[in-house]
Amino acid sequence: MKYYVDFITKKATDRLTAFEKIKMIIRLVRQNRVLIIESGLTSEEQAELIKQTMMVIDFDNFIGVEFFNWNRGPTESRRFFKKLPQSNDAKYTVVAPSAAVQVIENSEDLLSIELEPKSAG
Amino acid sequence: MSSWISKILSRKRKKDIRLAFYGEVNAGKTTLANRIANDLGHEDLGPVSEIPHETRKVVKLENARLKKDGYELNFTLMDMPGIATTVDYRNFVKFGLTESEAIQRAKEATKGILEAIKMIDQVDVALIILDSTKTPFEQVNLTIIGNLQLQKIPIIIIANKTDLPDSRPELVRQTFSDQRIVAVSAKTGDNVSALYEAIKKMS
Repeated sequence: MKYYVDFITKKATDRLTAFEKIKMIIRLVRQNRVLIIESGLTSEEQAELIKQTMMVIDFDNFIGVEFFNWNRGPTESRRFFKKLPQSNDAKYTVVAPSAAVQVIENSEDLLSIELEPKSAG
Repeated sequence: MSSWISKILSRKRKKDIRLAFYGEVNAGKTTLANRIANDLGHEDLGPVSEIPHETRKVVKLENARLKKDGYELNFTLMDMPGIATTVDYRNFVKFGLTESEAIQRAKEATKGILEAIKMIDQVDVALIILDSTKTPFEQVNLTIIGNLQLQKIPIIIIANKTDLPDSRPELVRQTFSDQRIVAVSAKTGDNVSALYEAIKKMS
């Protein structure tokens, strides 16, 4: 199994509604892509990512996602279907297919992951 | 007394406060919910298991009454399914379930996670139960807390499993230094009285 790493710029996601953004993330992650998203995900988007992930898990080909967010400042409200740029303090989020990821270290300052295909991958 | 506490209690004094138990899978939510239910004179809310996703539907206990130092609070306890970003039935097979049982459990687990997230805006106070033997940086905890804060729902963070040797409640305190933290062992009941104190201070 091959995995790919995609860096997605803030400019690319600012063009999308939050709904479109989550749809795009799910679509790419299901194509075995590890995403580094410059704009990060708001708390609402994170919850939506979990919800949409639960709706598309099929147990054989896709068992879910792992994501890691550095957007830990004050939580920002963003209307879900509106195209609104995020605040300047937004940072990045890593989203990966769960079947691919082994977390080596996850602390306040460092995320270290190993891409290691597991059985469901 | 914090203004949000005053607000929530003045609004809810006449009726039940919906007290929700949120957190990751196997953080000890049901163990704590059972402990509180028992302390308040009720039976367990649900079974506890080492197999992940034992709680797959929201379980409610209405009319749970806390009497403390002359004050009385009425709760609806809401034990939420554990939040996860991945569900793999193979993990359940490792615990001895058949494949069909494991797949059924996994399907129910995904629905339960959806239900738990959708209900975030339907609670009055949330207990966020963390397994204090693990890193507090688990993303689902941060996601839950962020969404509760967006809804302006007051939270108490529970650093659970203090009976275990690897427990590090001080790390939870450092990580969430701006939040109300109570370190407990839901299993042994150690320091659960401090949680009642924290809840009582809301009055």
